[in-house]
Amino acid sequence: MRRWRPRGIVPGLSRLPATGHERVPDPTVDGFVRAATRLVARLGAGGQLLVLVAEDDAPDLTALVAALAAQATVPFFGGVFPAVIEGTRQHARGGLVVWLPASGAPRVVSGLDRDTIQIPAMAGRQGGATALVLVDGLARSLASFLEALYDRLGNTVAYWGGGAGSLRSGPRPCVFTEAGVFQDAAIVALVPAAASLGVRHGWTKLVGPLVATRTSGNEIQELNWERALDVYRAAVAADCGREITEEGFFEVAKGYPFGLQKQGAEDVVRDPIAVGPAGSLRCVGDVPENAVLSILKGVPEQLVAAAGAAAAAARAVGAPSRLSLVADCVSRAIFLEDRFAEELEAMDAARGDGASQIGMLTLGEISSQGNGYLELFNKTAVVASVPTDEHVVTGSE
Amino acid sequence: MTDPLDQRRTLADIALLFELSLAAGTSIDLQTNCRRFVTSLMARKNLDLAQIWLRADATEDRGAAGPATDALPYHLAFAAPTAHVGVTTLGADHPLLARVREERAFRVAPDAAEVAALLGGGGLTRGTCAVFPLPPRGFLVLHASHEDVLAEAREVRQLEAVTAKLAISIEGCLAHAQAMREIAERRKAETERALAQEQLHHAQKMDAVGRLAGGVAHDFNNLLTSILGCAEILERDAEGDDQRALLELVVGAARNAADLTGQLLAFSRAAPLDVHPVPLDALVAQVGALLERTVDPQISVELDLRLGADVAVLGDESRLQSAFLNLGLNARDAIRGAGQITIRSDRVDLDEEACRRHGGEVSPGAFARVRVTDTGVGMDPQTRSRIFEPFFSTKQTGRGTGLGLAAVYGSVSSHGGVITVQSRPGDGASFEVLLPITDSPRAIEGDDVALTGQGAILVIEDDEQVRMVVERMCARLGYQVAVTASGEEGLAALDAARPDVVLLDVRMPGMGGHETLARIRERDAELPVIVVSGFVEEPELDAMRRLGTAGFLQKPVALAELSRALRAALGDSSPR
Repeated sequence: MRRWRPRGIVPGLSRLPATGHERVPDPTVDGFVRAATRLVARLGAGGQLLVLVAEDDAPDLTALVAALAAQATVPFFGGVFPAVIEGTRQHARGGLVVWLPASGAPRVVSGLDRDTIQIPAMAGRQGGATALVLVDGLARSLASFLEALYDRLGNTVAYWGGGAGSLRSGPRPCVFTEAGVFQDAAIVALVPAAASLGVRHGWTKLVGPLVATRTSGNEIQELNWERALDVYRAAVAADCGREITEEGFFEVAKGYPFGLQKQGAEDVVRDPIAVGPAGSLRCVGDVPENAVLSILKGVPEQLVAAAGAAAAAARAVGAPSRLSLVADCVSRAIFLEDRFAEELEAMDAARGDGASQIGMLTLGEISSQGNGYLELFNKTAVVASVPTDEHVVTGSE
Repeated sequence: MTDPLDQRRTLADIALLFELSLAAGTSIDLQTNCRRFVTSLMARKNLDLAQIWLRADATEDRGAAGPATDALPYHLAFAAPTAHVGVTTLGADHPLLARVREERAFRVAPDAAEVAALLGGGGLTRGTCAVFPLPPRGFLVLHASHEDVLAEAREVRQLEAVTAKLAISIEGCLAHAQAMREIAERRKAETERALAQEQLHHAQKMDAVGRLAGGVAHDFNNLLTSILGCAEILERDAEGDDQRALLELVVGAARNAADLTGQLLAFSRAAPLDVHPVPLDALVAQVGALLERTVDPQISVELDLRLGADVAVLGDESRLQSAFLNLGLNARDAIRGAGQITIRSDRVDLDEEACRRHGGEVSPGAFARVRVTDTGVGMDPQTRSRIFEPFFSTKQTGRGTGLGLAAVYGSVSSHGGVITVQSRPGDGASFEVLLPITDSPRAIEGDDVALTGQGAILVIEDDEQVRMVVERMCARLGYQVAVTASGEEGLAALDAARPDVVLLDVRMPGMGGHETLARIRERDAELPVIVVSGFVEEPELDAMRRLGTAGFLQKPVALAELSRALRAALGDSSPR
């Protein structure tokens, strides 16, 4: 197995910064505020709070932001996700508040519905840092945003994050900082420690190669110079054993995503979610024209094993970690159904360092695949081990 | 070594070559093609940096794609990400370039000192670099932190094949850009030529109208000289207040008429200039103060003078004052109700390009710029194009002569300057005057008193009425006067008795003023000769000045002016 070059710990720090989190079982503004207050009381005002809100019965985000801004004494950022992850369990209700060391205040990047994205001035940190990136997962220009972000920060930081929002509710404001609640936007927060990353999905090749001979952004119009839906139907029909209609497309397609070749790593998954005009296929994330694709197939055991491999790959080399951040695609949970718990257990077990595993189910995952080009993934598990000596869990005693 | 017969890998290689080959030729724009190619390459290969360098002649005037020029530097043409850009130019002696010129791809060992040198201080010091030629004048640098990327010789050769496609695409884009540049330059030249043609037509039209106006003014001035002179003499001898009052009316009307002909002459640039260094800020400040007293209290006058007391233009003080006052009054008339007039001055250096934009009417150098801006009704393009023509007026009949801005145009032009206007309906107007700066400023001064004197004056003037009036005026000032009606008569009189001063008209039938002066100089090089005319063109006057003149008087001549000119010619500065 290939290994990513380790980034090590932050020079000049004799001791790694502590981290902490608290689960908020009841989705009330007060619940989140109390958790935030307790964490700040324990870990001090020198950090930042990552607030992960689960979709079911989520509190009014504007009220939540106002209350946190009034009572929390540290910068905060967050988003609404289909579910949050704590340990080996996912929670579709309530949320998590996570205390992290900070390198500057979280920055908002708006205009992800436009072609040109302006990234505010920010810089990596000598010795390493991690950029936590939360995006509106249903925004149109995610590829342009990630390209612009990488152009700004390069590989001076490790990247971890994912898409917020809801498959049920459709586009709406879903990410926030103390500056407000935003749609078609991204939040970038820097942690002054370089995380170790692991990225795996476990989907395997069913059909290919196919050439995406005509595309536009995230829409595949032609495959092998023919109508994309026709080619996709022909490729998948035999394996899935059922008719693929436009109305029931997602029910089938959730088990047969596309794969974009990436040398030395698994294919980058592109999730087809709907049929567009003239038989085009709309994906989560851009597909470059003339890219060579595969159609992938999911086998539950392989997906679970891959998630474990992601966690193992992220296990910190040379620096201890008590915090493991997980961005796991919501479509994996949908595909694995009850077996999704096995995936979380596999990740927790594979790491084997006793670190607290927290995170969220996402609409698209973001990572730099170790060191390297920043990508938007689909149907993937992205794990970041944050170097830390101590992780505090409040509210549970 | 990996299995060379690994079909899965071969297929992956074919896929990469296919995608990259097509990405390189996506468009005819260099940046688009570089971006598409590099983005795909970085994504598929998991690279973290790509930089495309092009030799200096790629984006400058390239001419034919000749052989490599070893003396030229390389510039960074594209980088992803820009976060790792250190230097953007590599000098021709950079050690990397010697290897690049061999046009062979090469790989720098992981973490070698060359990596940092290659990436020019962009913050990356570790990882692996590989360099690929983009013949005939570029190269591509790739960097990977991942240990396995760019690790094998076969991978470098594979990328060398695909970067050759990028090189062809870059050459195509550069050729297209060069063609576009040439087309743009040709269009620009055509536009400039059309503009110059238009400006030439305008200048020719203004010149023709100016000559016409000058001719009219000349005849009119002769009449006014008679009227004004006679009236002034009669006014002094008048008995009783009634007569004096009537004569005052005549004198006043004649002076108003003289002002009008003065404006005509100013426009025609025929009025000679009494040239001295004029400190422009002081002059504009005087105009501003005068304007403030003249305008409606609802209109504010704001001055922002930044030339400084030491900056002067070579000019005729009264003509410049009149020009700026005219601009101020024009601004006032453009404002309905409340508003603001702003007069700003500063210094500006015009280069060749800026002078071309002014139709070549000025030469490169330092200029005093005065902007008179109003918040008035503004002008449409049609009005703006005719605003400096004489007798063109947007004012109601009887409220303007249509000569004010024409006179300003003539005055500024005769000072070697240029005037332009910017305006849109409803947006006010801004007149910009540029006058060449000179050295040595001089204080502004003035005198209106008629001074008597002693001496013999010879008048050479063909117009009988003017001759008579000038004779009377000189006599009134205490001088002995002899009058002649032509150049020939004047020379004869001069041979008979040498006068102390000659008053010489310019435009006369037979021997004109210029020739008469030349003949006088043959006889007497020192005799003071004052040139008097209602209309003389500057070149002719210059020629006469070179022969030696003791001053110039513009008809109609006022008694005080005549007295000062005679006193100056006689070298008499004592008060009388």
